Amino acid sequence: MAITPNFTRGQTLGLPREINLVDTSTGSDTQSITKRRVYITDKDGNYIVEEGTTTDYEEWNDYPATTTITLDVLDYDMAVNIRVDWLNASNVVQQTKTILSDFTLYAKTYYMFLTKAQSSNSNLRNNANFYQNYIKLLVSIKEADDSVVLLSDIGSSQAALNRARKLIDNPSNFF
Amino acid sequence: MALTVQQQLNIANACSIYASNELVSGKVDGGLLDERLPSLLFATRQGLEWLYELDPTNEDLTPIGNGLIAICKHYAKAENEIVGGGSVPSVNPNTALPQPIDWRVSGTASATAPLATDETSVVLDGTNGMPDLRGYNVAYTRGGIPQYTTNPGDGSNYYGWDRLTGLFQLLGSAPSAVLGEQMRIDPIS
Repeated sequence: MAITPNFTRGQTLGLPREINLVDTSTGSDTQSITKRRVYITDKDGNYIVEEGTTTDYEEWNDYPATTTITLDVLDYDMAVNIRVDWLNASNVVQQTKTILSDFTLYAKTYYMFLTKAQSSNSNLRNNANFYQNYIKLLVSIKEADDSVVLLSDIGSSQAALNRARKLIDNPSNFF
Repeated sequence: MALTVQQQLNIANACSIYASNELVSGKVDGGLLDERLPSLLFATRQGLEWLYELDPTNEDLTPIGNGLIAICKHYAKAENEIVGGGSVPSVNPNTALPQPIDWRVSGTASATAPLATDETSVVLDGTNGMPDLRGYNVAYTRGGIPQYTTNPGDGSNYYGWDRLTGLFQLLGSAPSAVLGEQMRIDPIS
């Protein structure tokens, strides 16, 4: 029986540039799979790779022993399609899986910073400008998530992330 | 006994529901409940929840969680039924702006004269005997002349203000406070 391909995506607090992938495929490998390749594309179909990578993909070798890979690819929060191919030794694709994901750690980190600031300072949250933009940042993050989960809409998700980015890149204007 | 993060999240969730219901009914505070309270509770709870998911041992969980419960305690019914007892910090106190700080620079900094001779910055966050102006904007006047926060570009002085942290800075080519100089900081909304 061939494997049922799958993988999870995550990020680590303090490392917003990085995407963590974990191979969670199940079943027995009858296709002599030896490695995976990871293709990440943005809303316009551009390939996102680590600095120095000359291909459109990142190699994820040593299947099945190595189940995780960390990719340093995000200059800012992005909605991306992540496609993982499972290949045999002849580089023939045996299985493939694509998952639309949004990565929001830049925005969430700043949101948590604002939350800490306002939770101990009523002056801040009583400031209409601060409060309005604090909520706007939350809504943008939520919208980015919902666009992916509920609508599978990479464009709307990226648009929401761009709105969040505008807020966190100009803190003196908005907060 | 201290509440766990999960307990704080649960309490905030319940308070948010109570607050929404009471807001609709207009029962709380004679109908004067801050309309933002349900969304404020949700927004603060969301920040705590994300941090808890990302790093369950993060040191910021405690101050955010305590702040969240303090906001909950504003809501009398939720406080009595869920949290129980304690003081009631206001979410939206009807307070006036802090007093302006008007001083002549001397050799010693204080709450009423926050910059001393040769100094270029002070943190107005309520620590070190300084007033807490975080959350406000400020207008700054030096020698009777209102100052910009944007660099005029002609070498003259200007100032910086971070209302999140309370950092107030004198900027420019020779920004240091000079003995005897007249200065004024006006908190504005």
